Amino acid sequence: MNRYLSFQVGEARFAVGLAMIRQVLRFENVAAVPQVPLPVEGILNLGGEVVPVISLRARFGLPRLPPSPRQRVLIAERAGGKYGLLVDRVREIFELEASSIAPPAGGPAGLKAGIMEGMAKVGEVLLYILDLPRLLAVEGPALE
Amino acid sequence: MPEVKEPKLLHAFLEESEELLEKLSQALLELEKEPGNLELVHKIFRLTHSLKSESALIGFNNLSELAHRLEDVFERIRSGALALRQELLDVILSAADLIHEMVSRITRGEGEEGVEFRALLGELARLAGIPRSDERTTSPEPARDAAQETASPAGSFRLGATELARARDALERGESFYELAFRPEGEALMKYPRAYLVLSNLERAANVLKTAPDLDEPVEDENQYSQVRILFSSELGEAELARCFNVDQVSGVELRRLPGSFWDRAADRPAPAAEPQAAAPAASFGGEPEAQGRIERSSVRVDTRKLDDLWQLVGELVHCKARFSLLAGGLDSERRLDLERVTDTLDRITGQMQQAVMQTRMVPISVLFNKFPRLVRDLSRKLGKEVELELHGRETEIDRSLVEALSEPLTHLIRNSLDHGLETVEERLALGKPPAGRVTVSAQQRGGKIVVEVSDDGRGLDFERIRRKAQAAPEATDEELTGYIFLPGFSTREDVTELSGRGVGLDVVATRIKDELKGEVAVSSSPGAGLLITIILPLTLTILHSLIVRVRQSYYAIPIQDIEETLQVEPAALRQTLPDAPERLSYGELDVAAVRLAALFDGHPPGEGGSEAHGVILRQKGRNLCLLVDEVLEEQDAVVKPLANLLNPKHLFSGVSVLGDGRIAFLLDTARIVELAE
Repeated sequence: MNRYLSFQVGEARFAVGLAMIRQVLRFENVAAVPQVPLPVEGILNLGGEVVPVISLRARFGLPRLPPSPRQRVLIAERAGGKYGLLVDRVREIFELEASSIAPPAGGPAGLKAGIMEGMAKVGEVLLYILDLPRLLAVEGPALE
Repeated sequence: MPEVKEPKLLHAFLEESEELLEKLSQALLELEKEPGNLELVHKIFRLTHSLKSESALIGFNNLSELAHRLEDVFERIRSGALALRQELLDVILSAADLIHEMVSRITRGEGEEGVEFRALLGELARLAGIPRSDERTTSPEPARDAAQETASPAGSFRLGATELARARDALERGESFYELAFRPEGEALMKYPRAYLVLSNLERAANVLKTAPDLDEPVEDENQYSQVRILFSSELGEAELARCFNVDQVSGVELRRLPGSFWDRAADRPAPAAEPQAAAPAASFGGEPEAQGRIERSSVRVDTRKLDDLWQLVGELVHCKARFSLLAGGLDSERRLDLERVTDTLDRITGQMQQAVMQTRMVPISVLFNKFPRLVRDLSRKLGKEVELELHGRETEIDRSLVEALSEPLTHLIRNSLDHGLETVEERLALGKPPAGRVTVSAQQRGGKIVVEVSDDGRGLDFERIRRKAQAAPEATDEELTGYIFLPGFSTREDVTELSGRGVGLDVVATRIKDELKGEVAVSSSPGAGLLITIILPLTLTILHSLIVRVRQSYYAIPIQDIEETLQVEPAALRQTLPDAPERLSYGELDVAAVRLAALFDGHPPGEGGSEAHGVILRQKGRNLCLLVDEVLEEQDAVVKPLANLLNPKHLFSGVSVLGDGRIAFLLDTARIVELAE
């Protein structure tokens, strides 16, 4: 059993392994960086470290939202340091058997299957489990 | 010896050897001035010894051998068997240079092998009258031993004066004394390396006083290593020590803690320091080296990155405190008073903490100054000039990050002084000056700044020639003419380089100090009497006193030192002179380009979404520029954090800083902004 965190971007629900996420922050004090285009939403200060924040909406080719109190920044980490992912809202933490994850058949709204680890159905909801390293590695919008 | 060195070990070795070499160069130069100073001889002996052991431990054999030969030489000087002549000292200095070179190569990952040192070893041996290791047939040691060692019964070891002094130190540190005995196994050839390995391991954890047979001496007869005993002191217990020397293929290991009485017997005889012994020249190394040793031991090595982390965290604390104060503002008056008392205390503590952490980043400028005597010595010989170097304020503390960045500009200035500023002995005598030229380098902290001055009593600037070369107006003042030598390109032109003999690369020095070190340079010349160059630097590069401004929703920090003034700008005061050029603004007697920061960054049309009614006049490289912003906020000591290149594609920012309320401000690289605006 692995634990996952699910969240919403646009209409679709996504999940990432909880072990990947260091922190969940409110969308505050993120400074837009002049001359750096989306999907970099800006930078934020995390205990002295300057952390870039990437907008998943922009990454998925969706228009920007008016600021909403539900928006959250998920802090994850890779070799080069921490980074943030801006999502519309965080839903829940749940457990999942590896056997109940199906291979990705394609993402919602034309998202590339390659940025997905798999899909799973939890209750009535279809969740797309994101492969964060791949998501960051792929250039341009993550659309087919 | 291992081909691949363990990185951690290598790193520690390099750090250690850098410090040893630094001390060695300094001591050698002091020795040149006072060849009779036995304390120095003793100090150098110890330094070469450490260098030898350290490098042998990690397997740098050439380095170790060179250090070993130097150690031999100083051993002989110490015992009075050898007199220190200039010729010998020159070779010793060259040997120290070779060691330097080897270490530099090792640092660059090139290995020590590329440095040819055999010829120098021969020269050293010849001058010192020591048979070279490969020529040694019979041991010269017994004679020396008998003359020098004072035959103190330290267990069954005989301790010389040096070892006794070191043992006394150990006793004062409260260490216990041990004797380790073991038998290296295997074939005869392998016995010495095995014994040496045990010794090396042990030296990492303990203070080795003596080995029998002496493992530092070249191998003469492999069979003498069938039984090895080591006398050492350590603060560790037996169990911990056993782990330290644990190696395979030795047997009959016996570790014995020596009873206190062992020391009583040994210590009685050579009367510690108080009663100098006529027979042992080493006895004169009494109180002072010991005291010095203790000071060195009271410090610890810390990775600078750890200090940087700590510094960042304290910065966070300061920001957090500022937010706390803001919150207190929202409370009713009674509680607010209580809370304000607490925040005041917090304020004081965080302030002190910031100071204290900043202190840990500071090093005395002597780490830099210590390189100069050698530089001046070598250069003055090469140029055939007589030069006296004076160093003042060596204890002045500067930020670690400034040391390296300052090294090259200062070296350049001193070189200039010697090469071009100072006259030859004949010229000086003809001018009625003392034959030896004087170069003075001084440092002091003045207010929140570090002031470093390099001066000489040489020719000074030749203003007439600058006037001619720069085709300056006849009425140009000396001050204006001095300004020319800082202009980029002025001094690099072939014909001008020769002009006063000065100005060579001065513009480069000035640019570096201004751009990289955020400092200022001033020149003051008295023709015929000398030149004074003053460098004013901030205490640290990680805090920058800045003005915070706002443009739309973004905050920017501008270094105060780059700001001439701030002013209100009426839209009507801006004139568009050329269609694609920046607008112009007249203020006072000046007419400057006015650049809208928002347009520069994001291509916003003028005024869209912001007032742009505030002007910040920047001064950069002798040019002024007005930045138009929406709001001018407060001045702040901005703690600079680096910004990844990916987030800084045009290098417009020198970093970011977190404001008191947690918002982020981008620190403008004003030089880049001015460049871009043009």
